[in-house]
Amino acid sequence: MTAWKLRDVIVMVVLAIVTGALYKVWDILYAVIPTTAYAGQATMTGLWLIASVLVAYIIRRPGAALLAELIAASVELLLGGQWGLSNLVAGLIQGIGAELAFCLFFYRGYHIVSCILSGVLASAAAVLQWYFQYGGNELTAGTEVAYIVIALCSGAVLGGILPKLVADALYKAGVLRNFAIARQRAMAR
Amino acid sequence: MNRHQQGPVADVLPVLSVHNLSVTYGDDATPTIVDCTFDVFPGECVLVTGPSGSGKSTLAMALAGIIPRSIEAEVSGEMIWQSSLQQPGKIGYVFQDPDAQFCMLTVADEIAFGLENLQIPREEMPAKTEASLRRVDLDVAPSDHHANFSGGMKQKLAIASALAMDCEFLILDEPTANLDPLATRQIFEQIVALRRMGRTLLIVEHKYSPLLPFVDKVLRVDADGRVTSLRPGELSRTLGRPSTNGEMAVEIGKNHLAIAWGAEMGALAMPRPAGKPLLAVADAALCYGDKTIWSGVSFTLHKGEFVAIVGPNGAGKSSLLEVMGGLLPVTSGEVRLWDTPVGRIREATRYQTIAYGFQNPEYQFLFERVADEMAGRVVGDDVPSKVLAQLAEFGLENHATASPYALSQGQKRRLAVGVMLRDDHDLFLFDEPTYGQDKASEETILCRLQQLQAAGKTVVTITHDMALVKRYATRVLVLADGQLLFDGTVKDLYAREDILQRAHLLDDVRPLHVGVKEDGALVRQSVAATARPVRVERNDEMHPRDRKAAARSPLAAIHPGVKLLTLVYIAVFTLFTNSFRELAVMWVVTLVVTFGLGWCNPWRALKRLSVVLAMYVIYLWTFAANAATPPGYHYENVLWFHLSLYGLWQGLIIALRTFSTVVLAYAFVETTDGTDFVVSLSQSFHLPPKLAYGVMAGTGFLQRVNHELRTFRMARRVRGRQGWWVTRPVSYALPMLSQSIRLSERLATAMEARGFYGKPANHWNGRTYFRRIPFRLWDFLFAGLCAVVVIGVFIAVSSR
Repeated sequence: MTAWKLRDVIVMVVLAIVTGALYKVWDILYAVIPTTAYAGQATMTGLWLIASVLVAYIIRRPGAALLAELIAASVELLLGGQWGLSNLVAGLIQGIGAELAFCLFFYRGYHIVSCILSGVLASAAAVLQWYFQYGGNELTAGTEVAYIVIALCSGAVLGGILPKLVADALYKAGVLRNFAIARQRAMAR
Repeated sequence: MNRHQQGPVADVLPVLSVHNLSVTYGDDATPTIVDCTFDVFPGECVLVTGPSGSGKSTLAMALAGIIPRSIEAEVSGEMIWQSSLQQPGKIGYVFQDPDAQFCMLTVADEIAFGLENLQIPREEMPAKTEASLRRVDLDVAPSDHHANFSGGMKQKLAIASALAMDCEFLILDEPTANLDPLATRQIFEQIVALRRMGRTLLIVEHKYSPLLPFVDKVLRVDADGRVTSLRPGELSRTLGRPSTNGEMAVEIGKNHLAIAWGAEMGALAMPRPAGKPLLAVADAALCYGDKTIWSGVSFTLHKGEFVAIVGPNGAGKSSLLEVMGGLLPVTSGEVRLWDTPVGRIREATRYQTIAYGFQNPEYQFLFERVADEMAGRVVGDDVPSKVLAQLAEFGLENHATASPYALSQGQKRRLAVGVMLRDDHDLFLFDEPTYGQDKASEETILCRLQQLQAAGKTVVTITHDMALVKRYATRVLVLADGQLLFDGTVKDLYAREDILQRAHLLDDVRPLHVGVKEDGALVRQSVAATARPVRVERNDEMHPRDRKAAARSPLAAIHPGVKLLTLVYIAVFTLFTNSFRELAVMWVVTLVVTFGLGWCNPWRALKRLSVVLAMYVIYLWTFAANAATPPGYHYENVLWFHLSLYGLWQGLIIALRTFSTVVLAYAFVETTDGTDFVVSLSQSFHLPPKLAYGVMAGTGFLQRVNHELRTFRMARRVRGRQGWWVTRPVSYALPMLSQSIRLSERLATAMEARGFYGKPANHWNGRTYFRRIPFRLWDFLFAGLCAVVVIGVFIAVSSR
């Protein structure tokens, strides 16, 4: 934590707040889509994971993915999320999943592969909670398998690729000049 | 004459000597500040001037050590501070943006933050806080939330925070950039008083003329980053004649325009209103809840007018402009555009007639590249020459392929104005077009506006800049005290001193004159002393919580960290419930905690959670219609649904399980002071203060998100690209995020400038704490009791 700059901390918190607010909007959408459409629900999983990759990819510090997801989940809860304290549990396990991916690359590889892996592992954590807490185990086997496959893909695309693209766009816009993402690119050049 | 009133003494050692200082930012080929050499003596008041973008702030931040500590850049040369100034806190810094330099919520916490970094014992903090508030003449309670303050009050609070830390050298970086004339004057008076107290000052300022008699030395930063040290007298002489090319060009431009219309600058007459009115506001009033912002506002706009709307910070000028643009409905009264109520005109048609410029130009951009933005479509790599010519007009031809968000603030504004002028509109509404602008781009923009007016268009602009009003406006609307105080020409306005005073517009009319009492309190002799700064009540701000029952409850007295852990513990147990009997027990625990110990109001809780409850009804249906039924249970297949009572019961268990954690979360939020919780992370759980206070600063930002989103939505409506509401987050993402990141960086810089680096930021015991959040006996009693009761009851019930 000593290696973190204050700027990194505040950007993490602020981005987590913005994504937390986005999660809340997503919660509402989730509630109004036809609930029989399990495929639709599974597809939505990935967006609840973007905080991790977005923040970790920008500030590139150990722990960033976990903390960002945890804070985003707390914000969602503060704004009145329908999952209550389970939100914190979700934030914690999804954050651990996302963090694991970057840890596997020794916090040196911040590229499309680690981002996708991060999204997939985080969504695996989300699937676990869905299975045990939200009644996934009550469903028929076919539905369960389909749900899990779609959720993992959603994690890869919405939770891994999308936030990476957003961070790259922000980098191009020139607002990330003082962050690790810009420093590492400058060194690579 | 007391000892404070002496000027600097010549034969003493300088507090600061700078030799050959150069500052270069990362990728830049040339340094921003080149080879700068000067001395500052104790008690001197140094003024830094120069065109915007020349590196004045860079110089100031390099002196304060913010560069390279908080902002990376290469610094070469020598900077020798007197040894007494080398301790943290001795160099104070006040930033330009009043909204991006505070990290706590209340006045007392804010001032204490700096004191904590200096490890000053908490017993001494209240006295220091009070003394510093008195010195800046800021009459607020320590428990007030500064989010409700006006810009002027915020800047005073920033100065007070620096004074509380006992700073000897104070740097003020354009402290009056967005303040109304009265607030500007009060800050200036403050500066004069500080000089009398013997503080050494360095002030970056554009509108410096009232300050000039109190300035001992001027540093002029040229466009190429060279710094010249002048005496104040020399500055006024050099200003007498056009010294640089930029200023020359402006002079020529002015004469050219003046000749073109055969009019003399500064002596503009109101054109005779002709034809039917373009826009008519009739007896309009605007209220938020039961608070009236303004009422009884009536006026009509005709073709060819240049109207300035002026008034104090927080008078509702922006909302008046939003009402005129049809972006905000009036509470009563009517706004008619071409004799049709503005709300009834289709948006597409409405924003063909009206062009609207927001304070933050970034919100108006729709495209990824400057050239596309200017053309209003994706033009590809071969930028058409017509578009290039349009860009050249605003000095943007070299940025055609850049991202609009990567431009400088001045360039962004010019691009936004360029886009507004591309299409033919009749009415141009601007919210502070010169905010954050240097003189040159201000001139570009205003000249174009004047051309529009000459072509028979109507221009309305909000501004605090009375010089601009005097030079350009044909008509002034003064909005203050909840009403339209004045509607007429500039000349008539300046004949009405009573109105000028009520509207905080008395700016450079009288020379600054302040006295200082022995205890450091200000004695103002100017007229400004009679007017109190207004507090801004933002409509979208969260309602301050009155001390309700929940905040006085036993649960509120529990240590916030212990409380959270205990509640999460209960929640985790709830998640493992599988029968109605187990659930019933956990619900009893939940209800006892929430209403028995937390004293939450059941009626309020029900109202607050009703939306969530509605969602659970949908979940119930999901399970009733989709659950797989074990053999032996009855089910019914209807359409593609698999209806079963078994599924309904399973759904009910899952819903009750999750909902009890929602209620616990509600109890936590209702009974916990957010600041206490965040501070306890560091104080009680020994997390690095960097993280805890970073979270605190970030949550302050949460209050702004609503406001920013609202403005952004309006900007999109005006551009006619609001998008389908589901796709909105996608198109909102980039501008909202880049704005957030910029604000975060400013916040971090401001916090570090107040001594929040090194030990006080990295180690929980490297700082003192103003708030004490100790563990008490009943914290452990509560946690232990909950732990035992939950486990005991749970085992008893499930083993049956």
